[in-house]
Amino acid sequence: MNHFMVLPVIIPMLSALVCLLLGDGLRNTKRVIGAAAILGTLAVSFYMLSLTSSGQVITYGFGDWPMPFGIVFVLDRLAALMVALTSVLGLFAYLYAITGPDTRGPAFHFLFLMQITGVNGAFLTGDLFNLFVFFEILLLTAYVLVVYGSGPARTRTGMQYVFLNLVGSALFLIAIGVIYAVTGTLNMADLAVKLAQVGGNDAMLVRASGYLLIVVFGAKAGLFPLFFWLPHSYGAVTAPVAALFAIMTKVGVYAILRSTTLFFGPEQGFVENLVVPYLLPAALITLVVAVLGALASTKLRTMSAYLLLASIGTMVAGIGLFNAPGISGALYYMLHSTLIMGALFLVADLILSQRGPDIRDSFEYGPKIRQPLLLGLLFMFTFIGVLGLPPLSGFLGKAQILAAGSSTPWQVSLWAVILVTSLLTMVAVARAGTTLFWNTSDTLETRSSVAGWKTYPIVGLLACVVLLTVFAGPLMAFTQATADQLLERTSYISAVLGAP
Amino acid sequence: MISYEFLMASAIGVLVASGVYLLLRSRTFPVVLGLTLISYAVNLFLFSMGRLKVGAPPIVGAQLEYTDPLPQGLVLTAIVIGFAMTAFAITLAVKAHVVLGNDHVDGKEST
Repeated sequence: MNHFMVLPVIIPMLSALVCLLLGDGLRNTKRVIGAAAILGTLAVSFYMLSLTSSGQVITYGFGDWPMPFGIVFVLDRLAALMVALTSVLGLFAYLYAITGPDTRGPAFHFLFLMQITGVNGAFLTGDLFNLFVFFEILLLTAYVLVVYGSGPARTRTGMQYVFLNLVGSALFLIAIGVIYAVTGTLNMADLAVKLAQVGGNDAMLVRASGYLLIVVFGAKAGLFPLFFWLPHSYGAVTAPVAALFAIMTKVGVYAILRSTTLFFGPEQGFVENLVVPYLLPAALITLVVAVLGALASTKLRTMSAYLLLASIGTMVAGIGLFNAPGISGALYYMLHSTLIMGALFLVADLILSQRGPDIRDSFEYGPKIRQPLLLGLLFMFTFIGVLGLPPLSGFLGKAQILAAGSSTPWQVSLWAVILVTSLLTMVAVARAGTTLFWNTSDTLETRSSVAGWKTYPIVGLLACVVLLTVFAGPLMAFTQATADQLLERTSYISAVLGAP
Repeated sequence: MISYEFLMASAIGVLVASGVYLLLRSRTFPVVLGLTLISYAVNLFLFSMGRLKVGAPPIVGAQLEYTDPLPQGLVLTAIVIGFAMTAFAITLAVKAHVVLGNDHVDGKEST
């Protein structure tokens, strides 16, 4: 049996429970437990990557029920890649958190680890209702983490975040209900088979439920027109939480990618290519709106949230092309942008803490930054990555998406939108940098703190981005193989249901 | 004679309609109530997705006719999750009232 497959869920979950049982004291013990748990998950995820690189799809049926009746975990290239990405980002966000932000409220380590549990579970599960359950686990912890650290801004955005996502969960359940009523199954591989055979009477029902599902996933990913909650929430939360939330939107992107390739793809009867035609336009509009939002932001953190949204737009555009190079480029860009966005939120926090509690990260005339050289270098390096400028990996991802779009009907609009928004992002970033670093008085803010240990997790994330660039060859081969595996579908389906 | 299906469908419809109406209000308490009504509607909906049968146990082989047991398992999960979510939403609404000084969903009174 492949018991190792549940480890990315079990390790953080059990460690989280231990942290909860330890109560409010013993902070250092909890810090070590959390770090060990995330390192353990990281090790398992790399083992998973090495296993799936040969192209095999591994399944784990809970309680050994015959398929398709039990809940199943499915490990294919995409799942392994996403779990590894979560672990890497989670590790650095956690290391940043234990330098101090974890003292602002109770149960931080528990919440952080449960969040990772939920995200990993969502990536690994092969059952639609189980996906809902893991969505709820990650959402419920996210609800608490959004308001973590308290304050009026966090409470206000937290409330809106909770209400919106509760409605989203209700829609998710309705979609699941209709799909089960029509097909009689919730196993994703089985759905891929059964949805293709749906009769004419139920055509409208399955189509409606398919659209509902994509609305839910789109709201999670922050896709136009369902993005409006994201900038304010992400702009207000505590820095390491914002960094971890960079993976939360990717859960939505993952769910869109999985559902469009597995059961709303080509040759699927009445749900054939259900949402694919809408993905690319929605992604391009997201990109434009996000960059305009970044230009209009008055705070660095809000601008970072809009840039996160822009990166979602770019990768969904790659998925929307719905060919192997497009999806491969989108996956590679996802690896890059998730890590760099995490770094961005952490850098914004450092800048904020050195400008003092009065103006924080607003783009206003203010006191001098205490460590201008260090923070300036981190800022510049991070934004080279965010902009997708060479030599960092964002450039390679964007270039591959652009190349995948050539000789498709979307070529002109795709190239125009991505290139023009990149330029506008550069304008926004230049304005932010000049204001924050140069439009300053000569006095130091007395209440500011030295970066100290907080620099290392950011440097770590940036080093990972450099590694992504150095090993771009093998990584792109992997994402290419992932895209092929997703589009070909049969290995996933036969791994779960047995060879036909 | 009104059919069972018609009753269920109307009940779900009325619950969702009232829930959406309350959800669009500007105070947190009606919004939480609206969310609760919607989650009731969703639970009923999930319950009926395995088709409605009267007097049939959810056990295969106990009787000639049986009800699909899976939706009942799913609805149990959904109820538990919905309950936790409602409890959290209420707590957050109370906290927001304390921190922000009003019960408006935007955190400030519309003038």
